Amino acid sequence: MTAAEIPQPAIPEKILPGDFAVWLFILAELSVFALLFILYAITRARFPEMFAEGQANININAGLGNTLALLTSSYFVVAAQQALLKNRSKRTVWNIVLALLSACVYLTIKGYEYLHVAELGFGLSSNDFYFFYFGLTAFHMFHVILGMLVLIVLAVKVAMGSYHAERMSEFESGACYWHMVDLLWLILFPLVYVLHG
Amino acid sequence: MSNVVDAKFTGLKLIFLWCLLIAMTIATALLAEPYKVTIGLVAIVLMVTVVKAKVLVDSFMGLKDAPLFWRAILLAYAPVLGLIITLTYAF
Repeated sequence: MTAAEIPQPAIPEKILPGDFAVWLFILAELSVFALLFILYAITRARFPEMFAEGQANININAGLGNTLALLTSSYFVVAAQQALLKNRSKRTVWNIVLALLSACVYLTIKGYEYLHVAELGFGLSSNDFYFFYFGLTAFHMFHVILGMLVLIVLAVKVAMGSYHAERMSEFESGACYWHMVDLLWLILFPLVYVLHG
Repeated sequence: MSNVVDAKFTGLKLIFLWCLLIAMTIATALLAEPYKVTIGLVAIVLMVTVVKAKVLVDSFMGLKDAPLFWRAILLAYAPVLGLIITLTYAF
């Protein structure tokens, strides 16, 4: 038996979930946010008192609620993917609806949070801390809203039978975008809400 | 067939990972709330964030079996930022 005839063990194929273009988009988004996070951290180091005073007016429980809502939403998106893999369309749609409801909880908390800070008399132009606070969190919130629109489109297409276990690359793209939004918040939460003072 | 979320990735494992993420999130909030921030606290909070990010990237995004380049970028994101943020608290 020659070396070429010896059966080779199968090497598991490395698969990138979703479409390649979405990953380029995700890479661009992560880069932009990384720059903003670093700018925030450097500015905080330059003006620690200003940031400590500003963070004292931000409710950590609101940030905690936002985080729990987004993590729960990501959980339902993964559950939806699992259901789609088993070709259970109805279950997939319901899990996406639950993910959207969790995202709505995030938006509601964020609304109350902004209202509270505005009632205290602070806005985007109050000082560097509020510029970053509103800028970073609102920019992230727009990504959540965009992600929700993507999830709605996915739910409609699942209901129409466009996706199934053999055809779910688009679905994976949308799901990965949603998890990226969650990943960004995982860093934003400690940076803005937890590490105060 | 693409299998980002493997069928073997059971519902129970998913619930466990979600509970883990929730528990770590609450723990960091409780840990940091009463104390003045020190470099040690910053490092601990950001290390927990790195673990959370790893769970999200490997299990939720499904990059555990993805090409090394993409997995490395996503896995390195939180630790690199965490290190930079920690350094800004050190100076």
